[in-house]
Amino acid sequence: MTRVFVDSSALLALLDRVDPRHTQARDTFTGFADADLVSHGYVVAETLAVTRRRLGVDATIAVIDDLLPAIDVLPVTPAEHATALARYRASLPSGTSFVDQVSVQVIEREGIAAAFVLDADFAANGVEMLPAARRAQGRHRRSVTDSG
Amino acid sequence: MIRTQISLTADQMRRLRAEARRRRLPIAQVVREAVDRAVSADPDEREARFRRALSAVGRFHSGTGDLAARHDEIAGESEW
Repeated sequence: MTRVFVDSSALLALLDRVDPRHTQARDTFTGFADADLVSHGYVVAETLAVTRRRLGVDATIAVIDDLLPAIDVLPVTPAEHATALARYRASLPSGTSFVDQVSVQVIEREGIAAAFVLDADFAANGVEMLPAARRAQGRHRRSVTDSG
Repeated sequence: MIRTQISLTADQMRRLRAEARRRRLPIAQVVREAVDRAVSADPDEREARFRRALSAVGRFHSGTGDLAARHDEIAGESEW
């Protein structure tokens, strides 16, 4: 069964029907019925914070009750946390977010080959980004695995 | 949690210990994660979870449509 990493950007685009890439996100997500969806706790924290701030309490509850049960939230080890933090520090002031650095650690550890991501700045070596067309619409990409 | 006893080959045990040490996790946690990967959840339960996730799709309206693109910045403005 295909394992797909899920990023905050994808979850937020799914929730928000006025996101310019909502339809693309929805269509991609619909195709994941037979996939194992995985993420980690830092993505969950980021998604909850943004959802609560901009979409409100009902949407936050929908994340917890409806979206998250479909996603396997994997642990982040202390060593992965430390590596991500060091890479984040090395990439400052304009580097990739700390959460994305953690995501790369988890993706590499788990050997995950596909990621559901709408953040144009996110990239991990050897990982297929879904939906693929995001690259044409996004900003300039950089590889987070080469930054530290 | 249900306690159980299994037999492993020496090589499996060596690899299991090495993985647990590398990730600084209990061996039991590594085994539980491996079981989850190898044995899928009940298909009906899995389908129900996915249907429920789909029910949240497009249910909300930010008014700005910039959450996915600007989530890093918005997270910085938010209560955690």
